[in-house]
Amino acid sequence: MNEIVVERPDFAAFVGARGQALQRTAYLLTGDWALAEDLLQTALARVYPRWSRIERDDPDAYVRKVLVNTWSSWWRRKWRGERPSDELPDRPGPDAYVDADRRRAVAAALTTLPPKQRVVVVLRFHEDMTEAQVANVLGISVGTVKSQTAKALAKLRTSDALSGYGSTS
Amino acid sequence: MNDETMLREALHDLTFEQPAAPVDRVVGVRRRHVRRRTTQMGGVAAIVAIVAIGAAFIRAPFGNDTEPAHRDVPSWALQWADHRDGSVDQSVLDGAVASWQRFERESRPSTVVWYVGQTAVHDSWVVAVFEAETRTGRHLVAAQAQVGGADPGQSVIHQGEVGDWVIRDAPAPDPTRPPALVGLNLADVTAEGTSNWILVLSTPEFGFHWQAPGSAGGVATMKDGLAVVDTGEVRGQVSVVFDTDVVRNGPVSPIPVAFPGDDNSGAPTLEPATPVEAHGRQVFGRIGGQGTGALSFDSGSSRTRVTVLARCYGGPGRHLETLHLTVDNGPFAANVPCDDQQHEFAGPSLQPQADGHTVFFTGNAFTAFNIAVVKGK
Repeated sequence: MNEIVVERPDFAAFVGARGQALQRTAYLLTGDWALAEDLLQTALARVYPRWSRIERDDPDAYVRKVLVNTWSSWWRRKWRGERPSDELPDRPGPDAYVDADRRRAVAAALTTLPPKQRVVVVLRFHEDMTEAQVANVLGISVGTVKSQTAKALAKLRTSDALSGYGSTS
Repeated sequence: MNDETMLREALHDLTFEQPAAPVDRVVGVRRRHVRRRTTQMGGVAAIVAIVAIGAAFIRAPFGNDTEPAHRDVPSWALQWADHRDGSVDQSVLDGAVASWQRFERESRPSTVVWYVGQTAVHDSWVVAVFEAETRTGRHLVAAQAQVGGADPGQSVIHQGEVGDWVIRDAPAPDPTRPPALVGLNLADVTAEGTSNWILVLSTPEFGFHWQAPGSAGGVATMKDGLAVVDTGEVRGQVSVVFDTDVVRNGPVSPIPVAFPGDDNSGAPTLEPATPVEAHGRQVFGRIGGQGTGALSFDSGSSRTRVTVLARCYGGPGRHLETLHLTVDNGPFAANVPCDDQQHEFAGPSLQPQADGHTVFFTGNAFTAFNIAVVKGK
């Protein structure tokens, strides 16, 4: 039986093991699960032909870098038509839907961040990368990572989006 | 709890409702890979770059200095002219170099020698051809990217206005025995159809004519070793014949428009194959394209026998190409003769599956196909 596509079992294993985590990162960048899957598959398709070379090094870091770069190119081309929301939802109240509400508030606040700030936030605080690692992925200086992080935190603080967190922990 | 800790918690919380992983994620990736390869191989119109022997220039990497046609180049580089015409900002071209570095995981080049940097195909593509020297060796590189963010009629393409670079890389050729041509194929695919361009770089000032199956061919003149030609819709490889031999003492014979050492780069975007006729039968899925691919379909909620309808044409040689079909990697397999006729294959009886079924097909990059899966025999 002929195989139509060259099998790369290690690639499939990697996607199985890391796919969901990468999709979460993609979601935090795109703000939409369908777009996140689209972004993830696009990024994986880009690394797929070079897998035999990539897997020898640090495939996770490489794929994450491709994911971020792909999203950046989408954003630059404005093909995805994303519109940041100026109006944030009301501050969540203490009702049964508080979890969903506060998630919506954070999601909305993220969309108000400029793309570079958003990706810095996601890599720093979701991927738990160091400032140096973020700088390497984005091809910017550590100083820029620090300044973008500070600006993003200031903006999120102003939006009050984080107010639902911390006090409940 | 400080802001950073709260943000970590918030981001974690935000992904709480993550959907289950799609069962066909890897299949989807492979499908995209196939589509991407098809685009890279043929979707880019017939830009044939025939690089001219002549003067060349050296530019420090990522600099902005341009040189006159007559310039000093390193001994390892081709002695070809600089055809950067100012239609693409140098920062964009430097982006092509950077993209090549990432693509090939190369070190920063110590020297970049530019040959082409311009828009093409009604300004819908940006094309860059250069040679680069790095710690690992010397390379001839062609890069092309679609223009995505520029306004119609914009005179110069700036950074951020082009999409991903499609990179081709070869060892730098011996300048004493330069390739007859360095060619790229570009395409403009619109609702009206497919149109191809060739960009040709070679020894300077030769006239040539081009030819391709399905097209009448035409005559072109190079300017200082560069020509860009609209070849229209083609059904096979585009070749050029020079008025005089470009290879010293060599015969005047058709030269495929392709990047040196990359046979698949000679595949232009082909005229679509004629759609297969279902003759009233229920169609589960249909796909057209060229080369290799996959068609996913849902055969319904009960066990169903399917028939595969297929038609293909093409191939770079005179012998008849075939398209190889399989379904779900099961025992069913068929070879479709690419004779531009419709063929039917009684397929397997398929059980319902949550993620559907897939017909996989493998063909030469120079073959175009149209395939449908229909219900019943």
